[in-house]
Amino acid sequence: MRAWVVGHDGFRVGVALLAVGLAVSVYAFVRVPSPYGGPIPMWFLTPPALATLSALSVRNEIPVVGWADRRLRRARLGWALAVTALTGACAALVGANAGQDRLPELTMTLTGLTFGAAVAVGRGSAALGAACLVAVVGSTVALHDLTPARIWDHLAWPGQTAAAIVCAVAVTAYARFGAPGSAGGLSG
Amino acid sequence: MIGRRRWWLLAPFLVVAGYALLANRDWVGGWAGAVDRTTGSTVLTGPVLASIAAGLQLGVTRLRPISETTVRGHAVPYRSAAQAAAIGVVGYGATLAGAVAVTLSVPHGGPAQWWTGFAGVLVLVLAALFGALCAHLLPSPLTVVAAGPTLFLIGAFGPAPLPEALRFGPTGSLVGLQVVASVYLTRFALVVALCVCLGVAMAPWRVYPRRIRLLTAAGAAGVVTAGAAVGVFAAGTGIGDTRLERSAEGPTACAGTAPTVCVAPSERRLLAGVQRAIGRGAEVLRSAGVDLPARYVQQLPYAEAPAGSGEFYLDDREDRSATESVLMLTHPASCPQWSQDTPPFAALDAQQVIAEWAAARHGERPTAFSPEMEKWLPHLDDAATTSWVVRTFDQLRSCDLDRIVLPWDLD
Repeated sequence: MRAWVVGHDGFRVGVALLAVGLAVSVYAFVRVPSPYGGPIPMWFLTPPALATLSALSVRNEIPVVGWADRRLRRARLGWALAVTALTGACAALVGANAGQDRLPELTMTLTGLTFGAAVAVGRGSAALGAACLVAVVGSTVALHDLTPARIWDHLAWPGQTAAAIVCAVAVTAYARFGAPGSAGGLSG
Repeated sequence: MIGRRRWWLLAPFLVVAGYALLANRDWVGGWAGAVDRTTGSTVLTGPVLASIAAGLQLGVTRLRPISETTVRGHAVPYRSAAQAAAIGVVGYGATLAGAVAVTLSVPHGGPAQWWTGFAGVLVLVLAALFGALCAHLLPSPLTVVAAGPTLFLIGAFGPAPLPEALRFGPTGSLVGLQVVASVYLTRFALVVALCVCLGVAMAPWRVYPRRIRLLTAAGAAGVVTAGAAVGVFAAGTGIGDTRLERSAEGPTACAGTAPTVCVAPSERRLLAGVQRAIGRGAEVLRSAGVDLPARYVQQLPYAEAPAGSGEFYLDDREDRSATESVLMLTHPASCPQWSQDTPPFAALDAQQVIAEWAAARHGERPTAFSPEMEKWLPHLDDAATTSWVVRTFDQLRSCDLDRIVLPWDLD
């Protein structure tokens, strides 16, 4: 277990996620000045920031040799769920301080999708969260009235179910295939 | 300098640059706006480039045991920064080309200070150095992810004058305006000083002999002092404020007759729509006997409309209601009272009443903006109201704003 966490750079990423969660929960209402249409509340940047950071833990340096397929998949699934839950917890902290419902759900969805994207592009899946960050910063005016709860309500139950299914498929795909590493024969 | 395999790093840069250009299209059509928007795209592409530079530097970190033993091993982080800067400059050139292409695709015009585009190059070089330095000092994948957002947050919250070094735009509408050259050149000097500081910080302090270390430290101190002096001077001269001044651009792109409508060449793409709206409003007012100026010109900052011309505020909407069309005509003269500390409230209300009256004649439903007007609305179609409109418009045209009385306040 410890080797698995270390192999995924898990301690460092975990500390970074917690640090972001704690820092943003303290400064949840601080507005980041953007030249693209006014200031953005810090809590708005939390889901993509956490998802981007979590992408660093999708790949590991643990050799595949010695792992039974089923055990390896279980380990990957557990890892993906653990990181997703951690980002959700950090987002819940921010959401509680910012008074924003559904922030954890959106963050966990984005993190799940990040793990799914990692099947194709490895740590490059950080681009998903980064793209959302850029979109938020660049579309401040368009997103002025948007809140996580509104996004969630706008999806309605078919959309929410679809998001949950896509997220589950993404995490399952990660558990099944892992993320491509820079070297062959790794179990990530 | 850059291997073929690394040019793919241009892709995220170009995606972000394209988004920064096209997320908002209010700059389209004016050369000044095109340059400003391109320069302003570095607020987003700069952080992306910082992360790219950090990634490049991290990639060569594994060779550090070998590279540190070579004569020019200390140049490795500089090389990473240079590679990232090259990617940034190529991407920036492509962004500028994109902005020019978008501008050429619509009716366009206006002056531009093309040299201000150099600010973007400087910001990107600064970002590349910052990213490479971060990964040089903290070689970790976390650094690659954090370098970009950190640079963005420094631009947002950093102590003055750092934000001025990182954020050269987008300024907003530059129609009729230009940047003050001395302010920009001071900011350029500040960015260069910061680049030198970052470059010095990347120097291999431990491997040099004591004398060279002392000399380098003295040099670094000099540079930092110079940079600080530039910063203090910059802060003292107020470069934190966007220093803009009036440009030579005037409302010279005209169309139509009775009235002739003129806009700044940068807004030429909006001319047809404005002319349509003003023509529609003019028809209603003329039919009631209102005497309109022969020419309406766009309001520009720090500029007054020529004597005898009306003026209007221009936004970039395509469609305007009858009320909005008539409202554009209710500045038939450039009066000093409009820019007084206390605005002429009665005149402002009168403009709105005229617009609602015209909208009603155009078949639209008028809207009351006060309880008094709500009570008065049944009298909107009276002949007395028409004569009030003609009289009030004449008062607006002769700048006799103090004598304007709203129709429900008449005896």
